[in-house]
Amino acid sequence: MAAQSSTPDLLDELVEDILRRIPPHDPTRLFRAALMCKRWCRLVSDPGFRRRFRECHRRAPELGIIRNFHKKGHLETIRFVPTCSFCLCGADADDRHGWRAIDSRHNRVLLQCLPFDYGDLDVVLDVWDPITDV
Amino acid sequence: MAAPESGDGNNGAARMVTLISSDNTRFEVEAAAASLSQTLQLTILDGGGGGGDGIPLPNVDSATLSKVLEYCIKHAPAAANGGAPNATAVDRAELERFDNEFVNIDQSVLYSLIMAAHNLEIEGLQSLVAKKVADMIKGKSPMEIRRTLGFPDPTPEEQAEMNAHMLEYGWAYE
Repeated sequence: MAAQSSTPDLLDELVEDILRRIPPHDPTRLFRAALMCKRWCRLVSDPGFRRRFRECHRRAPELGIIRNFHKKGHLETIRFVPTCSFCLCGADADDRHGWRAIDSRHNRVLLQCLPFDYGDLDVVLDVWDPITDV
Repeated sequence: MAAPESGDGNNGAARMVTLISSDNTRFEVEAAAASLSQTLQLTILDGGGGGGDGIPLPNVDSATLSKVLEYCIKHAPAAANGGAPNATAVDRAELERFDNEFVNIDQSVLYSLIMAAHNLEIEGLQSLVAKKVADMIKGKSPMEIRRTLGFPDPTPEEQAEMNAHMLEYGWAYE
């Protein structure tokens, strides 16, 4: 059964080698390859693969950039600008009024709340995971 | 190109070795070319493969071996120069052109090649084929990837799973 569902009977190691060649600026390709069959999905989901992928390309797949966005007369807000066809699940994920992104690492973004009254010196920070929108 | 004095593991400039495929075809090839295979290199350094003896390769058929050797022969001079730091741009462009044409082949042959490259530990060839397969799925939907890579149509169970994914990640199926 297993053999039938994966005709190209390549070793996991070789399938991984193929997947690792997918450039990090095209994570959609990696994602689509994972949706293609269970075995490839298992390989892509493996933390070991993700680590090796990062080691190979010296960077993680790039899904998009976070941009601080300011329109005159409006509160500053942040936007997620995809750099590939990847979409964020939450429709409102790109719309956080009154916040500014000040740093980003390990897939999380450090946000600073912009005070309405600039006399207020309290700094309010938040950590946002754009993938899960939490 | 100036191979003779260049190196270790290369003693005896035009030394030939014989490789025997799984279907018993004998291939005579320069030791320097066969030595692109890490596996064969050890045997060759030990003096194997010469004379009437051949090195049997029970996992590689003659069609695949012939293709593998075509790659090795083309890449041997550059490999003998230690990755060709002083290769001219023309040489590099020529190798690149060769590589591009070399992998322009049917998907089933690519699979045989990558398996042979893995068995024989020919890193450059394995990496070339892996990159080609990765390029072949560029811009394709999961179903198109299946077809491109020669997977059979999904079983009803797999199809149901794909449909569920499609609802969740519609964009990936466009």
